[in-house]
Formats: sequence, C-alpha cells, structure tokens
Amino acid sequence: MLPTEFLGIKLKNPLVLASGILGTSPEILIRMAESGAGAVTMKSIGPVEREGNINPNIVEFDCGLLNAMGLPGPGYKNMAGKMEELKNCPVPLFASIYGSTVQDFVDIVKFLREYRPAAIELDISCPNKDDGLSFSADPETTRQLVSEVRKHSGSIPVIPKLTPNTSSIPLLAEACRKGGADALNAINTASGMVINIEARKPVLKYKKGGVSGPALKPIAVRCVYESYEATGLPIIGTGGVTTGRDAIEMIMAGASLVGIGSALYYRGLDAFRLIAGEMEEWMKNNNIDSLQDITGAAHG
Amino acid sequence: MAKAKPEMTRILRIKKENPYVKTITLDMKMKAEPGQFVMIWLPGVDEKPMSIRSSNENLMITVEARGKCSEAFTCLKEGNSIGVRGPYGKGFSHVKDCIMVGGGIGMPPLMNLSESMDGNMRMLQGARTKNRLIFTDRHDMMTATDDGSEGHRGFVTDLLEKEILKKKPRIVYTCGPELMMVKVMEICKRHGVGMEASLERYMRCGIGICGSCVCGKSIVCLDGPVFTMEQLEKNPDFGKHALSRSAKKLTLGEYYGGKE
Repeated sequence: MLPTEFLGIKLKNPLVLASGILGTSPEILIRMAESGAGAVTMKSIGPVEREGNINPNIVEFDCGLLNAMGLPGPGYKNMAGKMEELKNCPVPLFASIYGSTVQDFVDIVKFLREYRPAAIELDISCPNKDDGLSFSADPETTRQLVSEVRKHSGSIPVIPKLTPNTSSIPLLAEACRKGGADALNAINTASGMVINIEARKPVLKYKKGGVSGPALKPIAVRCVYESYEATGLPIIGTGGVTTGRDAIEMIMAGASLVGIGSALYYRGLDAFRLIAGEMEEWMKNNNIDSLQDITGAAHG
Repeated sequence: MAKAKPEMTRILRIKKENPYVKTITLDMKMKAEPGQFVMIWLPGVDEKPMSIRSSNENLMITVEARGKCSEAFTCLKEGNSIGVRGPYGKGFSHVKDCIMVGGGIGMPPLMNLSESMDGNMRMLQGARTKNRLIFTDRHDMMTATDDGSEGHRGFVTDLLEKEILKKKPRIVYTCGPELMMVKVMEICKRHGVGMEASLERYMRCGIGICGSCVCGKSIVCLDGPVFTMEQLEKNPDFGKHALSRSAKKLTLGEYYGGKE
C-alpha cells in the first residue's frame, strides 16, 4: 500500500527522516532506518567544521518547538568515515548540504559523488546562521545556485529545500525548477522567537530560531500546495506532520514523500511505524490502494 | 514527557560540599527517578544537563565548578533564579543489596538513589584527594583517594573488588569518569554481578531529537543516561568515543582534554 517510487528511488513507505533530526551519526541513521523510515536524511554537511550555537538550542511552546542548533557538523572533509559506514544504510540515504558560497556547495557535491547518496538536498533555508548568503531569499540567486550544483551532481538528483521565510513560494519554487532541480523539499522551519517572561529574555541563546511541529503544519501544507501548482515537480512535504492523517493531508497538497522531524519528539522513536500504520488504516477505510491515487488530490 | 520549556525558579539554599562543589536547593517540586537529569538554564549564559541530587522534597542539584558555565553556576546566590526543564532520560533500577561506586561529580545521582531505597547497600567514592570528596558526612561511605589523604590509597575500583569478594551484591550502580566505569564493568563481569552506569555526553536538546549525545546506537538523553551492562557491552563507543560539539567522533581522551 505504502511502497513508493520517487525520482526512480524505491521506498518501502513515503516517510523520510528530515534533515537535522538525529542525523549526526551513521549508527543513529541506521537505527532510524530500522525503526521504519522509508528513507533517511543526514544532518546538513557544511564546508568547514562548525560547533553550532551555545545552549539553549531548543525550547517547546504550546504547539511546536523552536530550535537554533546553528548547523553543528564536522565539515565535509571529516565526513569520509561516516559516509563509508553509511554504505550499510538499509534504506535510501539523502545527503543534505549547506554552504556560504556557490563554490562551497559545489565542493561538497564533488566530495559526495563517490558515495552515491540517493539524492542531495540543498539546505538553502536554515534560519539559524547569519554568515554567508541567504540563498533562498532571492529567486534568481537560488536559480543560479541550483543550476551550478546540478552541473556537478551527475546522475544524483538535487532537491532544494524551500524556506517559508520568503515573500513568494511560487517564485522560489519556479526558480528551483528553472535551475534544474529534480524535486523540492517544502519546507524548512519558519523563523520565530520565544521569550521567557520571568527571565525577560528570549530562551534561545541565538534569540531567534526555527519553528517546527504542529504550528508549522498549515504553513507547510500551503507551501507544498503552491509549489505543486507552480512547478509540477515531485515534492517532499515537510513541516509538523505527526499523524497518519497529517501525512495524507501533505500528500493531497501535492507531496510524494513526507518529511518527519519533530514527530519523533511528540510520538517517540517509533513515530515512523505509528504514522505508517495510521496511513494504511485511513487508506483501507477510504478504499485507496495507492498513494499515487491521492497525490495532489486537493488541487483542481 | 516533561515539556521542553524552562521554568524559572528561585534558589532557596546553597550548601558548600567542598571547595569546588555546591548543592543548590530550588523552590520547585519535581516527580523524578534517581538517575534522571534536568536541563538547567542560566539566562544569558548557557544551559546544561545536570543529574538530580534529590527530588524527595525540593529539587536539588549538585554542581562542580569546571567550565565557564558551571563556574557561573557556583557563583549564584540564594534568591537568584534559574531555569529548569525536565526530568529527562531513564534512571536507575531499584535493586536492594547493591554497591554504589561514584567518582567525583558522579556521586549525586547515587546519593539520590541510596536515599530512595532502604535495605542493604554499600557506598564507595573515589576522588583525587581528600578535599575533592563530597557527602562525607554519610557514615557508611567508604572512600579511596589517589594520594591516600583519605581512605584507601588507590582506585575506588580496588575497594569494589574487595567488597564483592566479601559479599557478592545483586547489582552495582556506578556514575563517574567513564574509564572508572569501564573498570567497574570489567570487575562486575568477572564476578558475575549485574551493573548499571550513568553516561555523560555533550547534550543540546535533552529530548532525543538533535543527535548531539549519540553513543553507538544509543541516544544518551533518551535511552539513558543510565544503561545496563548488557547495553554497554554491545555499545562500541562506551569507554572509547564521544561526539564533539561539532558531532565529530573523538576518543574519550580528546573529548575530555579539549573541553571543560
């Protein structure tokens, strides 16, 4: 019922571990694969080693989480060992990358090629670092970046991850398509802030952060819907999905795959199995045999 | 699960345990298991995981001045406020007829555990030197110091082996420097005694989603910090590796040498 094909990649279900969630080590990515994820995305790989922000890096609010990890990571030059171990990953592996310049992205893509990840996601939308260009702020910059990266990725599909912190999702999505994107991921977290009124301070040390969880879901559904209309590209719908019904909603908006992140907090590490089970049950009750039958069903 | 949201709470009392360590009593009640931890927020400074010293009445934590953040903690005064979220993680089991082996700032969660059980238990504590020991007002505490300034001269693990030979306990609980805990595990294995150990790793979220504290396949803040011997035997990183703040796999020597 749930097996899906995405850009020629076969997945046992459409649920993808979202980048930045637990994807720091090969062991834990493989554990997530074994716990029911259809595919897993690594934590974003950057051009140089980076320690990330000082704590607090995360805070919960009534209907979501706000985080500003600040892209901690060892940098691609220290990733060879991890990539080697990830050859044993039992499900398709998506690599996520970020950089401050186009050349950063190109360098990392060149490094990744020999490890043949199933796809390369472009993190052009992390709200939690100030240095470097904010690529996704401007459609033309985004188009140029995607086009340059695509020239070097060979047969590996490239998936830009869109930000909701933009004035027009359709323009941004269309710029990615023009640049040669094979698919889109919508969306990254939305920029936000939480203040503790007793402390009279933003809780996060970085002050602002990215909103995820249930509060992000309607924003994500809208962005997926608009990206689907604007481009017709395959989409990974990410943002606040915690139940099977949420995942079905994302698929009806136009997503082919569904990203799972904060749900691992709300529902535990068994979230993939729980959500997949709920999707199957809903499909049975509604006489739907295949997800393709409902992809984009909310359009028209 | 506890909300991942710090609640500001007042410091009621501060007790000096030795020149480096203080116990802070907070104006907060919390239902927690010994071995669980809380995230303590110092607005404007940092947020750190800390094991719970006691939650029988008011929440208590015991802090050692080591890095910039924990030094800031030990500078706090009664009446100041700090943020608390938790409790998080899995604590110790409660098996009577046990031996507890603590080293340095690993002692507080074991004290917490000992106060939550009655019955037959033996407490062992190791430290570099006499003025690094804590909770020595407890009469049944057996101690070992590297320089012999108090108790047995040598490792606390020497005491453990002697105590096991005297009378085999049903389980050994340990918390402290990881290489000490590796030694505790070796001894327990040799004598066929069960064991649980509490691990320390750099943490960010404390709620099992950021991946900063991963050790082998285990997420220390969620699956631990307390692990059983069976789990630790299967963990290739126990006693060997820890992730740096940048998620680079370091040897324990590099990990403890390069940061607080």
